[in-house]
Amino acid sequence: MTSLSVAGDLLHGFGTVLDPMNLLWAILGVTLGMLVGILPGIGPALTIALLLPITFNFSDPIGAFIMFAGIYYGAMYGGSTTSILINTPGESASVATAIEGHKMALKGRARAALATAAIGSFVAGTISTVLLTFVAKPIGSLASHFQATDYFAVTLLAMIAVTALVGHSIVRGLLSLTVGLFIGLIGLDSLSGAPRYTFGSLRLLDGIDVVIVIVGLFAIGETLHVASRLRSTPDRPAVLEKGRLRTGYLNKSDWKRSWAPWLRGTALGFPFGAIPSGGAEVPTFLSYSIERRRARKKGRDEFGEGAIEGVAGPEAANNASFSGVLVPLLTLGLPTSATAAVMLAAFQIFNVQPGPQLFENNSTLVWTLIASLYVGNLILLIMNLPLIQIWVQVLKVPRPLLYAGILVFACLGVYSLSGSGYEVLMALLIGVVGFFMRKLDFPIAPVILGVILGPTMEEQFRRALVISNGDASVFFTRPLSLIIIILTVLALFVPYLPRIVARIRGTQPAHQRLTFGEDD
Amino acid sequence: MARSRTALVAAGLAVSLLASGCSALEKALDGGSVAGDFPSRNVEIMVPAAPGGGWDLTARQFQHVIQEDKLLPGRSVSVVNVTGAGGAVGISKLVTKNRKDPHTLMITGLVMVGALTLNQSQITVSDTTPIATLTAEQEVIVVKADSPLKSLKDLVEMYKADPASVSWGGGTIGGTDHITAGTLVKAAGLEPSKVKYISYSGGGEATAAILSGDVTVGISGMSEFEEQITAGKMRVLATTGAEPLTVVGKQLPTMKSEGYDAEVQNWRAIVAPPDLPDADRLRLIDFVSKVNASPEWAEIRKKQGWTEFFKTGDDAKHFIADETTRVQALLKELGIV
Repeated sequence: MTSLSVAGDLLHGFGTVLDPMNLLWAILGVTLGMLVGILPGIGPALTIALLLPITFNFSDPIGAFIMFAGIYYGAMYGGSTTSILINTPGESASVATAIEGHKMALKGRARAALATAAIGSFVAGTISTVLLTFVAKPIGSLASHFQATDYFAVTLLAMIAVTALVGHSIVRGLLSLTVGLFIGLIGLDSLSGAPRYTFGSLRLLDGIDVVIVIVGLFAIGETLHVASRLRSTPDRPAVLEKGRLRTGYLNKSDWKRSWAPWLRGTALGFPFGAIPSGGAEVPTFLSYSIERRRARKKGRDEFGEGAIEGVAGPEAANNASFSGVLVPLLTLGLPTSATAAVMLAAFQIFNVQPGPQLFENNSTLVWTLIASLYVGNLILLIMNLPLIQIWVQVLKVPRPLLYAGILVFACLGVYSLSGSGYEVLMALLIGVVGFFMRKLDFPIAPVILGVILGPTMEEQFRRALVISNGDASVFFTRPLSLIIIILTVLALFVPYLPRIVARIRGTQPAHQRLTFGEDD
Repeated sequence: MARSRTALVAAGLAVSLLASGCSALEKALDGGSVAGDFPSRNVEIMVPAAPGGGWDLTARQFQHVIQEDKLLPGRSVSVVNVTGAGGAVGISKLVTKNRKDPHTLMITGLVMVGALTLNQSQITVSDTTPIATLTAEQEVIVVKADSPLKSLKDLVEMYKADPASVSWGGGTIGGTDHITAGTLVKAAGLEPSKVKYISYSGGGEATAAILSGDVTVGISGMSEFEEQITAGKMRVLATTGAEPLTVVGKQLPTMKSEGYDAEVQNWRAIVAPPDLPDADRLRLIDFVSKVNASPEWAEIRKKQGWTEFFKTGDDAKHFIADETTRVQALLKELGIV
């Protein structure tokens, strides 16, 4: 594996992405991403789920994936806008940004906050994409030695690690996961051929399509939820102060205070995205607490009143995490966030199997996707700095119109899957379940993880046992599996790390536990 | 939808007329508006699976030949996918909703025989009116290039010594690959119930499992493994058809040439709904024979690696019935139903 061949592959990728049609998909993707990032309640996971059925008709999946990736990191940029201006994070990865960012806006420094978020996102996005470029292929070739026991260990790691971080309560997270696992069980058991939970219905023999579950829970459930409290939700966007034209968005002191948090945020975001316990929320909160602690040490505690470091760090972290998320997704076929889970479904629909052989079999797709990240980041920087005034207008769309539109597209999307009303009814039913889950504060992401990872985990577990003639020690005697299982055990403790550290130091923890929201 | 509603209305009308004693009129109606004179309407070929698979490809190429050679002058032919349960949803629609209608045809094959057996379906492929079998594809039995197994005999000996030491990797449970494993073991005079079969969803997953050394032996259609065989990463122990295949200038052994008297062909057929009037059945056989004889179709078969496997009417019917009996018995012996 030489860096020269990486450069060649990447150059080839750029060649494909600069094709006018693909460039158009990239622009469309990041624009949509910005939009859904700005709009509260609509996350990238939902957006990609809605677009999935439409892209079935693409003859070439490359365009679809360029667009999906654009939506994902476009949302990371867009999310900061609503966090800063109206203190309503458009997506969960921007929750940390809201803390200091909105304070800055109230002090009349909204422009500087938006600028440090956008430039920080660009810096982090670009650095982490470079990391992805060089790290992905070696990991991919390592992964071609994966056997059933290793796959099982990895899915277990993903399942445990992500669920431990989801929501405010482990019990609720696990209950959600159980619902997902149950849905995943429905259908013909692939190893024995026995029907499970089908109640004699032919329709249920193939199981419930993951797209139906995603659209039901996210799009329909969220719409019902928003509709149920429409009257009590205020939305008044903060007014953007008049900018000093041409004199830049950040002053000298802002630059000086921003660059180090950008780099630290990147350093946190990428690995957290890449490990199966990842996602964007943990590194953003970690970045926030680190910046806060550093500022305090320097005796300059502006935190709580609008410290620019508290915007720069988390925003860099959430963008860097996206490139990180792509590493396990592309090389192992493991989704480490809800959006990644939907993207995995997209890969499978296009009959592209992310995993060990992806870099061999779909080299053009992968490298074009990576090249599109470089291009997309540049487009987003342009969109965010001079054009921010336009994006603010989006917040003025009346919610009833917005959500009614989402509902229509959700039903159309599901109907186009199979051309049968049965699937639409199923999605609506799941949507009602999603509504009550939202209402009663049960996280949604673990359900999706259960539906996607559950069957894989079960299949690989049983395959491993059948191959070993029922000897369960195979999971511990194969070094690779053993290492991953040890990591799994460690991942169980990660959410409690801040509390444990705080207790050791004898201080009060900043956050009780790192939490992980939806729509990341 | 609209079409089946028309058929339903017509059938309902026929029943009420029968009740009033006008049996002569009923016969005329039955022969005229519902069943008669193929082709009196546009023709629909139903694929009981999602777009993209083998059945879908067969149907769409079949449609292509009909259009290119203008075999249905003045009528159109469309392909409709009815997915679900390995074809069970499609066949139950054909059998219950399209009775006597010669304008709805369905693609089927060995895989459906296995799936229906596995689902313990009340409907079998023999409940349709078989028109013709069309194509057959050989299966191939492979090992990883560095496997100690050099021949089919080595594999059988290994199984004979300890059935639990051999893991067989292939596609869907009860599908062609599974049937192949069972057939080989049976032909060697051994016990099929001990076959340790690991099913994978799709050739890519199975390929990865063979190359990582997870399974001892892999079974699939030739097209799935051809790339790896050509690249020297997999070794062919045998193919399963009657005629030997050649890959990179090398003739491959068959199960028969290795001394096991067995043959498995992944065949595909085209069938019509049940209770078809005999005149329509003969017209359909004639029509499908024309497609089969087309040079266009021969070209497609060659490109896809399908062997001609053309049996019509009663021959097709008996073949399908025999295969059903054989597969049902084999899946029982394999211990999965």
